[in-house]
This record gives sequence, C-alpha cells and structure tokens, in this order.
Amino acid sequence: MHGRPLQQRGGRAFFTTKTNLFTASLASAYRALRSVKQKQQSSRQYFTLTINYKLFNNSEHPLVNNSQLFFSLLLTSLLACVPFSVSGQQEFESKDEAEKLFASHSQSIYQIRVIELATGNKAAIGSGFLIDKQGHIATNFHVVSSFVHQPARYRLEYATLDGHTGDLELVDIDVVHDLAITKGDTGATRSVRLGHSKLSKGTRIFSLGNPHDLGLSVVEGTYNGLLEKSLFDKIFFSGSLNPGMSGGPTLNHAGQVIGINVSTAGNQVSFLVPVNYLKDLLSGVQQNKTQKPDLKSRIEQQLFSHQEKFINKLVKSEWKTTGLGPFKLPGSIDEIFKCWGDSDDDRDALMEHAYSNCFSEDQIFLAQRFTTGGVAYTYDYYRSKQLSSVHFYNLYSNEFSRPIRVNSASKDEVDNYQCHIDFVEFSGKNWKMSFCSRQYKNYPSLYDTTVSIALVSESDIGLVIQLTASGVSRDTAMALTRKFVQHITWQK
Amino acid sequence: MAKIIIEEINRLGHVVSRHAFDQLPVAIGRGYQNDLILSDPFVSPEHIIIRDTEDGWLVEDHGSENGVKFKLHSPASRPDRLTSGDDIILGRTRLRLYSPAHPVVKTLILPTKATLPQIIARPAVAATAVILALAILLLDEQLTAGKNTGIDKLLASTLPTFLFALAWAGVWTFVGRVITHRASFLPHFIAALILLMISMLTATLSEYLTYNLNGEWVATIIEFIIVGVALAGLFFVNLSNSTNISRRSIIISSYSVAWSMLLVALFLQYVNQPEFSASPEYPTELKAPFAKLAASKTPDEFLKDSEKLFITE
Repeated sequence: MHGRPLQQRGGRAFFTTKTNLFTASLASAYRALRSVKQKQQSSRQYFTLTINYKLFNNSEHPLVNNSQLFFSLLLTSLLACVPFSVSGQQEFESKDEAEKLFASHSQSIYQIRVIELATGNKAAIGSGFLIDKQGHIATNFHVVSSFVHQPARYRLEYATLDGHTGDLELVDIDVVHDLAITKGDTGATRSVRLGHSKLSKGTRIFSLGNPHDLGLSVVEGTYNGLLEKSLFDKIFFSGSLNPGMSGGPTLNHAGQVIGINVSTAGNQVSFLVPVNYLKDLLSGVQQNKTQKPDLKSRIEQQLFSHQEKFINKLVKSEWKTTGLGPFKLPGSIDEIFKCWGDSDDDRDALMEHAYSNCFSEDQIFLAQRFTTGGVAYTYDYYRSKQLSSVHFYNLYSNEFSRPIRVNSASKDEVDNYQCHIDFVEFSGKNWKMSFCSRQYKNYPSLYDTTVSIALVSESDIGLVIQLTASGVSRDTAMALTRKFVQHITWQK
Repeated sequence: MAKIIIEEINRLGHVVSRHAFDQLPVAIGRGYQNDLILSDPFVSPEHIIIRDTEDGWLVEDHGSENGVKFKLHSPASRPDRLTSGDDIILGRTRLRLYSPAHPVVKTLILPTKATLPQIIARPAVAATAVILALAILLLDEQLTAGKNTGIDKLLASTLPTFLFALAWAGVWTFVGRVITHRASFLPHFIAALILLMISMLTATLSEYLTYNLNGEWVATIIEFIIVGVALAGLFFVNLSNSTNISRRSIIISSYSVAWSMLLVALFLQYVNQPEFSASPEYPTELKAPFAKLAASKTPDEFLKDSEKLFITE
C-alpha cells in the first residue's frame, strides 16, 4: 500500500478538506516532536502519510527526530503551496472529454458499502465498477476487508448513481494487489472495458469514484509512469484521489480502464493498481465459475507465494554493501529499498551515534491496522567518548531494546513474539543475537520476524543491527537472516 | 522470713507490685486498716482475709459486694485451700500468692557477644556503611549517566535515597520510643543503608547473570532470595531495636513479613503482565567484553536453534 488507502471509514474521514489535510500533517509533525520528549517511549512505528517515509521514534537521539520534524514540516508547507487545480488551457481542452466519459460511464460505476449487520449502518465505503455482463464488479480488497475478515458481522451492498441499492456477493480477491471482485444483480449491462496500463508519461487520464460520499465524480490527472521499484507495480497518478474513491476505475480518453484507484500520499500524488492484475483475477474467476474459494486460505496462499517470490529474489541477488565505522554492512540490497541515515552531533552526549535505516517500499494491506510484506533493516553505530567500558555498555545496552515495529496488529491477529537469544561469533567478533518470531493467527504459515544483533566484543564501539521481515515463512526468514549475517563484516 | 508473698498482676500478666508479709492472717481490701491496701474501686473496704491452715491458705470472704474468684494452677484437694502459685481475683485486681520456698526459673546468662543492632551501630561500622553506601550510589549514578554530569548533580541525585533511609529510621526510632521508651536511631539507619547496598549489588549481579545465561529467571530467583534475606535482616534490626518481642518471634515475624512482601510483589508483577505485547521481549542486557563468560555459537548453530520457534505441523 502506498500512502493512505482511499477508503472512508465509519464517518471518521481522515482528510475531509484541504484544510484537514494540512492539519493531518501538522499532527504528524507534532507526533515527531512529542517523541523527542517522551524518552521512554521507544517503539518505532511506520506512518504511512508521507511519501512512504517511515517515521521512527528513535527517541534517544533528538536529531533523528528533528530530521523527521523537518520532513513533516516540509511536507506540510508543500501541501499549502500546491495550486488547487491544473491551470490554463489544458483544463479548457479536456473539459469536454471528462464530461463525455462521465456521461458514458456513470451507470456502470457504483458505491460499494460494507454494512454492519446490527446497526444497518455503513462501516466503510468505496467505489466499484462493472467489468462484465455477468454482473462482476471490481473494487479494492481494502474496501471489503472488514467483510472478508468478519463475514458474520457485515454484508456488502452496492448503490447506483440514482440511489438504487442491492446486495453484493464476494467472488474472489487478490490481497497482494489490493483487488476484489464482487457480483451483484445491478441490472446494468454496459460494463467498463479493460485496457492496458502502458501509456506515455503525461497522458491525461480520468479517475471516477465517490469521494467522501459526496456523489460520483470525475477527477482529471496525468499518468506519470509505472513504478516498478516497489513490492508490486503501481501507476503513479498525478491527480487528487480522496477517501471513498478506492476501487473506482481510472480511464484513458477512450474510456478504457487503465488502473484502479487505490491510495494517495496526498497533494496530487496518487496511486493506481495496473489493470492487468484485474484482468488476471477476472479470467481466473471466469474460468472456474462453480467453485467458491475459501477466502482465508486464498489470502494465505497469495501472501505465501508473494513472500516466497520476493524474499527468494532478495536472497539470490547480489547485495551492495555499505560502510559504517569499521563495519561493512548490507547496503541497499534491492532497488525497492529506500535508505535514510544521519548522525547525532550532541556535544554533551557521551557516545557518538550514526545510524542508517532501510525500508522496503510499500506494504500489503490486510486489515485496518495490520499491514504485512515489508522488510526493514536498521543500523545504529555507537562510539564511546573515552568512557569506561562499564559506563559505555550501560548506555549502549539501552539501545538494544528497540526493535522496529512492523505493524499494529492486535492479539486477535497475531500471537506474542517468541524469542531465542544467545552469543554468536562471526567475522572474528562476538555478538549478542536475538531472533524473535510471531505467528499470524489466521494464516499459520506466515510470521513476523525480528532479528536484533549487538556487537559485544569491543569496549568502546557498539553496533546494533535490526532486521525485520513481516509476513514471511520459516524458510524465507531463515534464508534472509543467514544471508544478512554473512554480509556483516569487520574490516579493521 | 516472710511467710507469704503477694504479687499484683496486670492484664498482660506482668507484676505491678510485690508485697511480703511476715505473718498470717493478711487482710486485703480498699480500707486503710488492711495489711494490703488496694486502690481498685471494685474491691470492698474489707474484702478478704487470708489465713494459714495445715493444708494450705484459706481465703475468707468478708461479705464483699463483688466476691472473690480463684484461679488455681493445679487442682487442689479442697477448692478453698490455696497453695503457692495460685491466683485470686478481687474486683478487677488479680493477686498471686507465693510461699518463700517457691522455685524460680534458671538465671539467664548475659550475652557475651554484642547483638546485631549493637554491632552495626558501632562508630567504625556505621561510618564505613555510610561512606560505602554513598560511594555505591554515586558510582551507580555516574555509570548510568547519559551526559557529562558534575559531582554536585550526582550527589543531589543520591539525596532522595538517603532521605528515604533517614525517614525509615526515624519512623522506627519513634516506634521504639513509644514501645520501649528507648530511642536509638543509628541501628535503623545503618540497617537501611546496608539493605540498600545489598539490593543494588544484587541487581548488578543479576544483570551480569542474565547477560551470560541469556535468560532472566535464574537471575531473578537469586536476586529474590538475596533481597528476601536482606529485607528480613532489616526488619529483624528494626523490631529487636524498637520492641520487647522475644527473639524467636522477631525472627519469625521479620522473615514472614519480608517474604510475603516479596511474594505479593512477584504475584502482582505476574498478574499485571500484559496478555499481548506488540514488541518482542528478550533480555536486553549488554555488558562490557570482560563480562562475557559464556561461549559463542556459530551463526548456523544459532539459526538452527531459532528454527524451533516456528511451529511446524
């Protein structure tokens, strides 16, 4: 998932207006600031609001937080500066096109609602569109995810432009690419044609959906390429997608679907699922019409094969290494990893500190607070400023206890972590190493794993390495860890 | 030689006064003509007369309003004949009668060794304890300081701990003043400091153990036992210095109080453990290279052991 999913939840919209968008960023800046003050709150968290820059609270080191603060403020100011719409002649010329597309497609686009059974109220809304004559309607997995996880608590419903509603049945899902196919008897016959997503940069494209439950609308923007340096392909759409538009189609001028609205990073930076994934899913559905898949095992199987492909590719590839103090460590091990780093410059501090953090782009949306599929690794390097070794290790020891938090999964979704800890010797040095894993309750072949390694054989140098992988199997976790450890060397 | 000794006993069984009479009969009552004059308002002016007979003392009631009751220490041949060691109760006064030949308990031998409170209150011991405690507290503050810290700030940060020890000792001194009418401050204070030092050293020892054993429970048990004994020792000094309870009761109560406090703390810690933790929990102690006594594994051995964490079906 890149940025924020475009599904609106239970009336509590995250971004309702431009001003609120502004507030949301200020809130994140405040969060960063607050984490400087709360020294004991050591958990690192992902925040998906910025351009996938994961904010962490490495609270002992104010500079980390200052840079985060700066980053958030920068984003805030950008939000305020960007012009509201595309200006000038272009807008004039394209007006007719958008109008025509809206007129010809508005009957095949629906609002998708997840209805809570006890109250009969909407728990989540999104958009969807008719893709064949059998009544199959495409939308995002995250729009219908609460129904998938708790079918006894919710039901699915569609609503047409003129307010007509009817029941929907969930047919199949692609959790990795955030797609779902539902089926309903809408009476409409004209489906939206599926095109392809290879356009040239700058092509005008048109996104349809129901933002904030305000009614079906059309948003014009530009195609800015297929982003391949991420966990899964996605189209970079320069246009404003808003909550409620998730699952709606984005069309080219000929009215063919090129992608499905999925998420936004705010500020005209939005993302679409390339339409070929929907084609694959649809052809699968059309081929085996009779079988209704067990969604739980389908999710598990999709996540499992995705992680297997992804991690095996990582393990097989040649890794670049990077220097940090006297160490050589895995650098950007694949192009999907984004690395950030900095050092502290506090004269009163008794240790020098430099750090580097690498995160894979994107995560897979499973449930509201439960994302998976990401890999992250961080290095924290400490050098004593002439402290006694006991004193140095007292301070250094505090830094060993801060594993990266991969998601906010609850106890209904994951087990507690189980850890194994011991002394390990490699590269001629002694290390303290802990390996922790927790099983997914509904998908027992998948785990979140966290490896923490600390150097313990130097009296004035420390290095804490954390490697986290979420939604991985035992074998891939082991292979990744093994290769990772092989790439840690001391080169003095 | 006296023929009868009469003890006045209070409700707790302690002797209030003791009277020896050379001849019988002895008249007892509130009136001033009596041989033994009692001030109890429930006693009649002429209450009883004790006479000598061949088979014991005879108590004659002189028509008192509240009568007389007997508490014999052994069943007598006749209930109105008393022997040495028996009690009579007049009104709310209890008297015990003894003959001069009554046996007494063996002489207690004065302790040749000083008691624990006396030892720790010796000037040399006390001074050493104060200086050591201060040194340990300062060293601990210094070795955990995250920034360059001056000695004045380090000293200031040890003050609350010292104040707590002072307050603790103060409370027990007050208790001692009330119960035993003696006030000795120093043993309480030094005992508190010694407990403080023991628990700090034990905590450090436990960290090093945890580091080497890669686990917490062994270290926790050792810490628990040492602190339990030390805490009982503190209560022992407090109680023996501030109350008149017998040595045996002091040992029993100080141990039971100390251990039940620790068990309650352990129980609360167990109960308050969150059912679900979003972060991995592992012993995070890291110690200087010299402290590593355990052997290292190879990465492959380590990963093989880690594989056991995964549940395979």
